[in-house]
Amino acid sequence: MKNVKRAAELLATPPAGWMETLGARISESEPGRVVLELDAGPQHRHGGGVVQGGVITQIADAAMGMSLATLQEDGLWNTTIELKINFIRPVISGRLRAVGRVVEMKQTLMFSEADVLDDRDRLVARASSTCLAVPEGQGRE
Amino acid sequence: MSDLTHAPSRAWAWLGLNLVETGDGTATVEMTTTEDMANHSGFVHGGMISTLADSAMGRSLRTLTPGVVRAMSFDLKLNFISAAKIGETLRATGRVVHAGRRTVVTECQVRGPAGKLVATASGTFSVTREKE
Repeated sequence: MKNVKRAAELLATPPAGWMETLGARISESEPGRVVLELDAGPQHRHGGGVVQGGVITQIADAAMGMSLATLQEDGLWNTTIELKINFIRPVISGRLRAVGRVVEMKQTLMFSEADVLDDRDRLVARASSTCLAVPEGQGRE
Repeated sequence: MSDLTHAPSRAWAWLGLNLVETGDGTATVEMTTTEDMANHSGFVHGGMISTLADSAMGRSLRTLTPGVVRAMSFDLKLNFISAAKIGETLRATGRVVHAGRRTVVTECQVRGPAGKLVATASGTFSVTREKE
């Protein structure tokens, strides 16, 4: 089920919560595919001088979860129950793009993948996740 | 560096793995499932599908230049998406995502009849490569 309205809403909503904290934003959104961007800088680096893996994982996870949400009905969202990532190339600065896409939607489980690319479109990380459908707004006020 | 002419390993022969095709950073391996590959539910055991995926990914990196003289998987992950029935022929296509000097990252899709997605996999290999 293509939730075109939800895909448009994701794109229109200003960053809040963790997205605001990290400086991430949604740059593209269509049913089955969502792209998050983040301008990597010193605030994202660990002591080794490169962007910390959790930051990369966070935008990949969000891009995957949101891409699945664009194929779910209103009233349903998803939560990650399993995630794997390969870090392929270190990043120091520049725009990172996490491109999330849907692999398969099943009744209870949903599968997605994400590529994280640098500002020259080189592959920085590759992630896959399994998500569980949950009522929308669960655990929120 | 295509390996189509290489004799299959003992494990490949035992499981009936068959190299169908190789391309630039890709390899397709088929396995016709038999009664001996069943799990308790009567479907194809996940370990059999894992072996097939690992084999397809391992073969895909043998198509790289400079060539790979030695490869060992040190990480293998699968998502089992649909059950495969005994008797079905499964086709695994492995693809190199990243080829480094010491490690290679690969991914794989395992499909059944009519292209049904049975599993997705990713594998990371420790490799020794020929000198350029």
